[in-house]
Amino acid sequence: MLHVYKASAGSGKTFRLVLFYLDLCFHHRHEPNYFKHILAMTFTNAATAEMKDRILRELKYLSEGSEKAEHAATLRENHGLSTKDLQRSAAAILQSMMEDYSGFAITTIDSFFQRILRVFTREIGLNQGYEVELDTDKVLQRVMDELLADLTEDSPAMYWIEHVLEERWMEGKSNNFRRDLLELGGELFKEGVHQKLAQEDVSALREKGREVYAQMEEIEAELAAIQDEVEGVLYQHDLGFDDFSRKKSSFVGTWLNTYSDVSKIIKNGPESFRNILSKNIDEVDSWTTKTAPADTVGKVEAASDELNRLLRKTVQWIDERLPMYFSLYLIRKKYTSYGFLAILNEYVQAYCQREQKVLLSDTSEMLKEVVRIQIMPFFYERIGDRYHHVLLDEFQDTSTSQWEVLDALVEELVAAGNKDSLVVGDVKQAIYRWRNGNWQILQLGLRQKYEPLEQYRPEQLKNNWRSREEIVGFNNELYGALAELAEVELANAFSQYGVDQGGETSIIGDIFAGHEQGIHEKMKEARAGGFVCIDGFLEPNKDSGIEKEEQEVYFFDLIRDRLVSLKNRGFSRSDICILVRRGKEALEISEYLLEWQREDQDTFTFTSPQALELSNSYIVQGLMAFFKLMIGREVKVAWLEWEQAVEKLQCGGLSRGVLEEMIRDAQAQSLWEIAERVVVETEWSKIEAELPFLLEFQNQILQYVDQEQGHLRDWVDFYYDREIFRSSIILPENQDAIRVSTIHKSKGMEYPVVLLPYMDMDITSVSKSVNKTIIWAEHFALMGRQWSTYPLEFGRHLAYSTLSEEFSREFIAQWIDTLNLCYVATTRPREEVHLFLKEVEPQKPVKLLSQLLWDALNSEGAQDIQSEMGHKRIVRGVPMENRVRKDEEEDYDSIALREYRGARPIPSISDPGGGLQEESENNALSRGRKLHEILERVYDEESLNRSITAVIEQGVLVEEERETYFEALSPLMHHDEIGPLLGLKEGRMVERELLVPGSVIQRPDRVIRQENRTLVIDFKTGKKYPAHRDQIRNYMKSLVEMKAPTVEGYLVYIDAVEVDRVELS
Amino acid sequence: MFLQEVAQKIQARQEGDFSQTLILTPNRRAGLFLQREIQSLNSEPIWSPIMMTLDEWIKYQVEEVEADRLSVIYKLYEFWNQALDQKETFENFYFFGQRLLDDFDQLDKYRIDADRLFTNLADEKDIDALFSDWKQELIDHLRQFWSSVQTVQQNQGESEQQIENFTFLWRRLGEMKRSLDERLLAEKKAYSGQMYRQLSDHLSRLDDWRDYDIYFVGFNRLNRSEQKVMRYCVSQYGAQVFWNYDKNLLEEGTYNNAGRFIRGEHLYSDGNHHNICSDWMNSPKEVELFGVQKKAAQAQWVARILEKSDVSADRIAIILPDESLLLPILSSLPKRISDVNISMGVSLKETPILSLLQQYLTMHQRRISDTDWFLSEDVQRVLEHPYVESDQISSLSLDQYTISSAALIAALEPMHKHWFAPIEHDRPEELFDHFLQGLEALYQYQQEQSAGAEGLSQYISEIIVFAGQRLRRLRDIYREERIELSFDALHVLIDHYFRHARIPFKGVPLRGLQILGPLEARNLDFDHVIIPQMNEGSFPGSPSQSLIPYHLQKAFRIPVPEEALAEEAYYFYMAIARASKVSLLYNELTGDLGAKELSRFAQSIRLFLPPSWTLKEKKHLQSNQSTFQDPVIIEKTPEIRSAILADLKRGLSPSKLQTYLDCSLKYYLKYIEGRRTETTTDRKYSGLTLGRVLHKTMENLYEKGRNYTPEDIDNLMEKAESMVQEIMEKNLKIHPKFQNRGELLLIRNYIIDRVRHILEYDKKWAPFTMVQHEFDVGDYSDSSIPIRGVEGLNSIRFKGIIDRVDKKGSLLRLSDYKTGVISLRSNRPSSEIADWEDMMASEQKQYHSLAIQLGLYGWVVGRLKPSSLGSFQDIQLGNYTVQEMSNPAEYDHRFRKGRKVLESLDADDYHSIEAGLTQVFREMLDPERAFYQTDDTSKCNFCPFNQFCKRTDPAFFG
Ligand code: SF4
Repeated sequence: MLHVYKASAGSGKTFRLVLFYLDLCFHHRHEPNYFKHILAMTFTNAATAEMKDRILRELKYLSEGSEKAEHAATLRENHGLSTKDLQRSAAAILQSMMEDYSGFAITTIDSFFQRILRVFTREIGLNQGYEVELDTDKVLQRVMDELLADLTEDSPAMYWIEHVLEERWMEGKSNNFRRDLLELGGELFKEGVHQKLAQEDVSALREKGREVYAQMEEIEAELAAIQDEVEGVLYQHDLGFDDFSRKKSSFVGTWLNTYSDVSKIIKNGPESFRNILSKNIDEVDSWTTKTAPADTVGKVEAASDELNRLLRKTVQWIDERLPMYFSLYLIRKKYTSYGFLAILNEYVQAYCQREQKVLLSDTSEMLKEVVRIQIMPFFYERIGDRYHHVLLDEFQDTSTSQWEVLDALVEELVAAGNKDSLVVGDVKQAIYRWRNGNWQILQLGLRQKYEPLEQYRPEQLKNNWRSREEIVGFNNELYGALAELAEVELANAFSQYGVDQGGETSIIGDIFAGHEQGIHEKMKEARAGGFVCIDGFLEPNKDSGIEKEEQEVYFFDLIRDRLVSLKNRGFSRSDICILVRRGKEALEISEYLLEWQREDQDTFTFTSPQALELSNSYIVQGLMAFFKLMIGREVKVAWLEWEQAVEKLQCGGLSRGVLEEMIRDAQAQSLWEIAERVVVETEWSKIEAELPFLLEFQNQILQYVDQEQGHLRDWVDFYYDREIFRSSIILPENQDAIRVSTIHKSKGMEYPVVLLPYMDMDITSVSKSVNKTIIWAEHFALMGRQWSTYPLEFGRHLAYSTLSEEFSREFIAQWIDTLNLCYVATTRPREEVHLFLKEVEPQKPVKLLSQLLWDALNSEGAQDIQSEMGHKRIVRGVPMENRVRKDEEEDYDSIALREYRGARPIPSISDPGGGLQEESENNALSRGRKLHEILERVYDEESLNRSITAVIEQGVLVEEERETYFEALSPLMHHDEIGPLLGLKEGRMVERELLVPGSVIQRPDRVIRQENRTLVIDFKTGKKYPAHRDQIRNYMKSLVEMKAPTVEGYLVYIDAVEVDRVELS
Repeated sequence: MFLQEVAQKIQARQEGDFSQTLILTPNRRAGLFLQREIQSLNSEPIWSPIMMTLDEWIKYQVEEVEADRLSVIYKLYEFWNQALDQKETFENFYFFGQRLLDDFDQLDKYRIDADRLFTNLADEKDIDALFSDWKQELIDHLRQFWSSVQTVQQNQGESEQQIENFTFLWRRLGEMKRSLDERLLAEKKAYSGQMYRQLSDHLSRLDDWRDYDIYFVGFNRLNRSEQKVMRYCVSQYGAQVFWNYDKNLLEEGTYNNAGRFIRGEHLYSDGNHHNICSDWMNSPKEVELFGVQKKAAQAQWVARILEKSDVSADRIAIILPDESLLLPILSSLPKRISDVNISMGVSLKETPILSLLQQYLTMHQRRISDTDWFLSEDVQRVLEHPYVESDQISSLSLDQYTISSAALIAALEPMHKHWFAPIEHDRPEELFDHFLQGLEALYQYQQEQSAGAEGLSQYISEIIVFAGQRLRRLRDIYREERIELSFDALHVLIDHYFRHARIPFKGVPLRGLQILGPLEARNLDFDHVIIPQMNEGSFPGSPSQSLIPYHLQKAFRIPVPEEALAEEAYYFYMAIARASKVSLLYNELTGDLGAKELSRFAQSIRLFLPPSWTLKEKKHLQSNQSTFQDPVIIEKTPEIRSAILADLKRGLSPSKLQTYLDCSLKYYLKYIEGRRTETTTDRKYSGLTLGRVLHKTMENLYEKGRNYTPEDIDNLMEKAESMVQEIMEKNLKIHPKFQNRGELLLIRNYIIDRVRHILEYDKKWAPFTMVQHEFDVGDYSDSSIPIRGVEGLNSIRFKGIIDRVDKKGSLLRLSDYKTGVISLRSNRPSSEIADWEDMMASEQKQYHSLAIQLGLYGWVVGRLKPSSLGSFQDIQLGNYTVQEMSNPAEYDHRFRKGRKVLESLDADDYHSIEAGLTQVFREMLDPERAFYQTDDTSKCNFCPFNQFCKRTDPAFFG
């Protein structure tokens, strides 16, 4: 059975997910490790960690019979358990989980997919060393280098590149080839373009292109031919524009002049052209003015039959041929860049294949293929786990290809009958369509597939556990009204664009059906109250008489005052979140906040995405300047940056001499060490306020070293090219600051108070004139050919084209995107929400979200606040005064660093006495060490050979040295005295150590213990030194102390082939 | 403490005589510590017991020598291709080979019958026939797997093919293993598992040790070969075994199954087995759990913990499951720690040597095929590497696109020559020798350096030596096995080989703070244990994956991942078992880029805290106050003002004027502070090159002073292509082979096209007289032009070069070839200009750099009338914006102001230009007007100060 929880905002879905999970476990409680068969998937690592944590804690509480257990009663009831049994089972399950923690399969979709990929690498054509590549910029740059390097006069890429560049230059873009191409190439990795292109056969594309151009010319020629005919008729009847009423603006003027060729229709749209022409068909009376001379009227009448025929023909052309032309026009617009991207994509694929990289975004496509041909039992055998239940969270954001993989699992489980699986999601909160999230699956796909099998069991989670009553009520009303309104507006828009809506508009109603939430009985009291405040503003223009600038000042003052009043009413800064849609807006509001913060830190201390970027830090600036000075890049600017950092940080003014010395020393140091040395020498390390940046900078370096190859120069390039300076420090959750966040990032979060100052966004991008939205149409037919996929500009042209269906689909989807975004925004607050709506007067068709909202709200009752500024207000509920903040109890201590410490010399680097130094003496490169290694196992010539082989295999010696070493050592074997010494087998102790109290361990090369004498042998290379004798005497002394009989010492000089007998004097 | 107790027990048994004693430990460090314990128990010199790890000992007994991994993989690769009758590339196979070899290795260590394992048992009857001797439980596992194969076979279609592939491969694996084993043994070599199997097959080889007292100390999980060895030693030689564990681990299902193996081994407890147990239930323990974001802060906290710890340094250990934290921790250690003992290595990837090698390879790889020319940028990267640091780099003309090996070798010192020796393209292995010679030379050099100054050079030498050793080894295998490698494969291999190489810190006595990996920490006990990165995936790490399906592993009792995890759990719990203080740090940031969640070990402690322990949770929270960097504003002090005056007196060039109009701050930085930036070599050939070539081509095509008719220009048209090629070759030193491909081909074609467009347009304009290209205004403007109305500035001199001056009748035309971006107002043709004064007002939307430049020239030439330009009546400005000239027939070089075409400069123009200039000067000198950053950020895109201003364009790629 597939259970589907439709979980509106704040409906406690994690609570239910956990319960579902626990229910499964307790149902099979006689098999405490049954959890191994449950696979739960979330979207982020953070969500994974949270869910695991909740399950573990809950089990812990259950096992202790603690009051904190949330599900005790339900579980007892569901499974008919006594308190004791419940406790016991919980303990057993928990125990089992900790024992086989890896089987506790709560994971992100990505990591689950990675896991499968690891198993099926060979099937996919990867080798085991493949890596998942997250950094598409890197891939792009590499691939572009290759593409360019391969370019020759007759390579297929040449055609596309030359045309692409030509087009871009025509548009007045720069002529930095690489940069231009990279910019365009960047499109490849947006929104799954790369996967879509993989289906394209580039070689066939040029053929298609030629057809498109030819077709367009044909259609253009048709119109021209009609127009020629018209001119012919006019000429024949001696008529000119002036003979018709409204002269140049007459239908004839429009026909021949205003729309003299197709490009004019493209520019102005076809509506008025068609209108004017069709209106005039058969209306010969109105063709001329009342005052027209009879002669003219006569001529016109004489021509009228012909003209009427031609009018009809033109209108027919407009209706039948023009839509096609619009389609072709759209195709042509993207033709070269499409071709270029397709070629580039071929390079990407080749690159990934060769370098064994898997783009993260490709994994689901690859796995789709794997699961398609797998039979499930075998699949599970291969991955080593057998799942009986799949739980999917945030399902509305699942992409089509992800679902295709997951569905293979779900399908099999559901088919197996009684196995319960769960999908949790909310289409209203689907705001990741741009990342390929496909809410259609949740909305329609699941039901279509599983309902006929009688395996579909939806449940709407009814209650809101997050917000106060007024907010819940507000949202209930708002989205009811919005959904209705949206359908009307959509219908209007479609008729305006002349598009057949095909009944699709009802989808909005479907999505928002069941949006109304209640508040659970037991929460009624705790959730009473709440406050909603909507400030609406008329558009500043001539009609309203409002100055834009003035209104702007007024507007932000209002926000400022609102923040002050919140503070006065007892909200703390961290209770407040300002939600924006885009970074640009975040920046704007942050700049205001910064200004206010300067005056009143207490009220306005805030944090925003931009404020957290590394580039704000002067320490980081100083460090990067130092790196640049080291590699001599842009030295003068680097000095400037350095000096500025020193000035702003008010310390670190080192003399040039010191700096230059530091630069010299740093050459051999790692990036990490260099950075530390700089901050310590300058004492920037003591600036507490900059610490988070410094730490993050160091983290970035660690990550760089871990993942890339390269040193200083590469790091500097990397830092700028890959915009490391934009990486953000992470903010502690409980920091007492007003938050500025994007709506997208706020998903899943909640805040006591939410301010929404930027709700005047365009509902759709249809009227954008630059940077138009690109949609990727899939599987459509054109010119009798099948097109697998193609990028089309979304806009009016598309509406007029034969592909208008694509238009309406996207149009509706964008509406839903906007409504969903709005829904997510207004459902974040717990206690208060403040909306600030600009340009609220109705407009047909409605363009901005703020207008739509104002319309949906009961705005007649809005109260005038400041009519000069066009300011009206609607409120709901009463603002709470003297709010008492309950401090939530944390079960941990917060600790902070005061300063950064480091730059302690690393043993191996600055202390030549320790670390690697000693190793160097023994280093394999040193001949003596090699000889010793060999001699360890040598007794005679034969063992010499064997020992050399062994040493080579260990990598101490290289093959080519074999001869040399053999020759160096073999004379020893033949030496009268040494040979026999080496050959002594009885009682031989090789490299045996002596433990002498309070001393270092002694390690004579060889000791031979015979019944009545003891021989100590040490091998030496090079010249004789007296110290050699002292050393061996030490060994001998120890042996004597150990009561060894007659100790004799021998120093064997390898190079000289000599032996020195040492006496213990 | 475990080792202490063991030492006492052994001491008691041996009564001071260790000359015939062998002590086997799982890890070397435990042996060292144990040896020290034994030493401290004796007051006289003694023979040390032989201290060995079991692994060393086992390998020591076998005749075969251990074969290098890479060469084994290569052999396997050959068998692989044979068996599957295919030709896979080595680099493709390499990683798969690693896994395959690991599996083979395990099979041997666990003494598993490979032939039986690698049989296709999809037919049920086979199982019954072949495995009748097996326990039912194991047969069930076997069935479970093979029946799933069966289900698939019953299904038709593509999945069947998959199964076919699987079973086909499966059957061949056994063969492959056999061939590999035989081949190695024939060469008297073996991989590690093979050695284990050899010995456990021939236990009597151990008989040399029969007179020894053998001790097994502190083992946990033993593979079946090891078990056999141990049992044999116990039964035959009376070896003694010491087990190390905590009592609480014995209870099943607790502590992440850490006791799994101890429970298993515990079965045989006869007189030869000794259990040395701790019991943490009865010893209080303080545990701190620190949640910290990312790694850098963890290193900082480790230092703080050390500082605060009241335990003496040599009773503290830092256990590092993640070695990337090693350097950060070392460099932040507090002063109170004087000695550090590190049993981990520094990865070669942390040192600059790997990047040198990579850059070197890339340079050769990208060499122009069939020539010995390198790309200059690649050469530069090698020469600028911190280890190479050639002083002669400046003497090389690296601003050229390519440079020949010969030229480099002639110019460089001997020690740098090796890097650039030419090689055959199809024999990349030659690179080894050259590179090694290069390293050798570097080593010599560093040695000489280190004669004077100690330290640094020594360290570099170490790295070089170590890297050289690795590389030499790689080369040998390469030669020995006659590996066929492409450049790509070499890249992959070297990268992998070096990344996993560690330069050991060695030779420090067992004193001071210990920093160890979890494996090295086995059997050691400390009072205070600090473990960072307590995250899943780090501690425990992710177990490696086998190619053998799970149920087959189970059936054949091959270790499954759970066992590896239980083993790690044992390391963890034993590392803290006897400590009184435990500090665990974890990365709390479980974002997309962050770590995985809190380690199960820490989670267990949290959930099942033994009553005698205390747990304190802490979180690192560093708050910060939001600020943005202040905008850069430079006030005009009197000094600055006089500097501006001085600068203006030096002369005004169009570019200076433009700079000011672009952004006053930029002008300040460039001309007043003198931060003129060196033009860095334009690596990615772009606008700059393009302009250079185009200008030069035009200059060379036209003869100075000659008259041109349309026919003449037709002739020039013919020459255009070859001229462009010649210019590229001569002026940019671009090897002709290079012009025919890549970016340069694009550039060349582009320029040829543009030159043709210009000529075609000129033809329309002909006949005319070409006065001169590159006319230097400065030469003729020694007499400065008076200026009115600017305080402190009475006259101004000009500098600048006009691209092209030609004459038609009495009309003198001053033109500029413009190749770059035309105006910031997109979609407007460059010919549209506004009033001069308006264009010259700062921060103007009307701003038009080309027009201002030409206008300025016109004004200067008009005022000065240089004699060398001959006589003329009027001056016309020629706008040669090449991007707009693709349709020469429709093009017009004249500017337009609204509807009015600017035929020639008239009095109004002169006046307006002058007024504009005066306005600019006044503003520049106005003390009230500070220098500030332009509002129009698009101007920052190409500004050299954009990093300083934090105005880098997000879409900008280097
Ligand atoms: S980066 Fe921009 S603001 Fe800074 S100096 Fe350059 S042009 Fe001016």
